[in-house]
Amino acid sequence: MRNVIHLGGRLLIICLVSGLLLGLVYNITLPYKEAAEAQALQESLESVCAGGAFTELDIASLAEEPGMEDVLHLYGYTRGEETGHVAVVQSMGYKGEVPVTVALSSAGEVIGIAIGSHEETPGIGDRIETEEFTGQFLGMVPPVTGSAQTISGATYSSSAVIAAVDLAYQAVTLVKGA
Amino acid sequence: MAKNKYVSVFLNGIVHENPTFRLVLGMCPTLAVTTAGQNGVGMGLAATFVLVGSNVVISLLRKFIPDKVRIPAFIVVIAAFTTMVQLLMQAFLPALYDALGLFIPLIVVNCIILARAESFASKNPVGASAVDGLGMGLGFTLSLTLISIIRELLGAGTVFGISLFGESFEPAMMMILAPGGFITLGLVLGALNKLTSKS
Repeated sequence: MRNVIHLGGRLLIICLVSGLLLGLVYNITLPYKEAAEAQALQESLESVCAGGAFTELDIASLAEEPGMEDVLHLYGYTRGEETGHVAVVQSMGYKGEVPVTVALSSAGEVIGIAIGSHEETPGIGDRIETEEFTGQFLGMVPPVTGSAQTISGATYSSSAVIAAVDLAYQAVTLVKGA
Repeated sequence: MAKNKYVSVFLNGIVHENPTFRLVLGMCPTLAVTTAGQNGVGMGLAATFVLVGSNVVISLLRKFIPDKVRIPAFIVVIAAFTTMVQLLMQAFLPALYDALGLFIPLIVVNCIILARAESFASKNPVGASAVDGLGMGLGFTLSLTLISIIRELLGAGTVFGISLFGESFEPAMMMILAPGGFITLGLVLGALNKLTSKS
């Protein structure tokens, strides 16, 4: 019995000290981590709608709608005379979720699209990042399923992006209607 | 401990007992992350940090940790350092964190680190353990970097993201996929054995 207390006690001390140190490191790095994430988000907004002013919209009510749980952020933008929306959504690719940022004009036209960091197969699935693929969406009015071209050999990855564009459109439509 | 003893402990990790090419430990990260030069360097340095940290702490605690529960105690120490690396990388190197992803938490179960804790740090003083961690870690880093450069060059035509062959080069995609990892590792291991064999 004494042995158990001795062994357990030593282990407990090691765990406690490790836990405390980790808590400390977490608290120190948290603001930097949040700043890095906010900057990455800002950059993806800029990349789909350069020079726009963005205001984040509340998506709490949207999350209750079926199929809308993959909408991560929704923004309204104004750029000079233009207004519209930017949706940050994710869609299941071949190896995990592919984050896609889509900018839609007030007429519902796709004016910008950016693919976030994903784990699709290098050289195959990652061709969704090429302008040859993403460029086709510009000027289209969703739904694009059926009209947008998939990449041969990378059907899962490219279908994920096509689904993401439609999801972004649905989310914006729901928010406009509300 | 004499100064040349430290040098021999240090070189032991880089050359004589190189974890990747001599001990053939830590194959999972070796095969998985070596698709681009900076991933290899990043993974190697992250593992080096954990290795030096855990070696030092385990060496300091070697009289405090009871023999019967040494493995769980080592794992807690290693996991703490790995989580620290993960938090620091998320905060300061988010791009590298995205690229290495799942393989950072998996440093916990990297057998090189547990092997050095068990076979070196728990039996040697702090200074030697730190040097051993550094040597082993840099040996691992150099090996990963070598494999990454070969794979990146043949599979994408670049080295550390800098294009070497220009537009006309058609990269062999297979080299940055899983089979290319096995082929490169096998050929490099074979070449090193040939170069260092005494006969």
